Amino acid sequence: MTVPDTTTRDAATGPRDIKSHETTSFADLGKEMWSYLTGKGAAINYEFVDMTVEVPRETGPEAPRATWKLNGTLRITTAENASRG
Amino acid sequence: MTPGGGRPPEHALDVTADLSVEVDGVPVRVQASGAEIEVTSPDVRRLFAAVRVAGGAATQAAPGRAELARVADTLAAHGLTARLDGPSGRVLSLGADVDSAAGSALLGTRRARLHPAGALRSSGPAPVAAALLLVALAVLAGRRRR
Repeated sequence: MTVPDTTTRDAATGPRDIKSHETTSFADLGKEMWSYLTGKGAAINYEFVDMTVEVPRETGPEAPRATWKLNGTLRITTAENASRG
Repeated sequence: MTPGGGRPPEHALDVTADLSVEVDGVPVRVQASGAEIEVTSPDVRRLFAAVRVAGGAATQAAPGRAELARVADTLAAHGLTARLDGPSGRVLSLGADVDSAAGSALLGTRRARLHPAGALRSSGPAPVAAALLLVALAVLAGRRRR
């Protein structure tokens, strides 16, 4: 999997402070980053190249795993910025 | 974008996707353009089972109607509509373009509609598990907050 390409096209949507929210985990950090970037008119581009995720079928370190594989592209942006390409 | 031609939501998102996903051996295609997300699989029953495994592993409990309603309402809040199609036709619709009284009674939200013909032919614990595939996409998208 390639690292998501995050681009900001418009940084003039008003003052925002990503540090104003308490971040407790990587998931929270991701949500904060998403909120911050979309507020700035950003587009998030993901490209999955033979990405494999193993999902435990039950609890425990030796639990059997289900395998998910992803290939392709995903682009998410705010609707008002979609037409800018 | 909204039933009855209402105003689009304040936090509307635009999604473009062309994804091939293999869920525990079951092929799934995810295509999106604008506000429409199309999910197709030739084996919806096995897809449901695999997604339920993932949902249970993540939450330590079998997903239920509340999770389905949350997914549908989150999609609607962002102006998105997702549809799941199997080999026998449409199975499930969720999100902004859905307004179902039956969904409200059976699934806890008007933003979800189970399509009986496709769902019955696919069998399995259909609606909740299918929605969790869309949860995975929703997690990737995160939630906009002002």
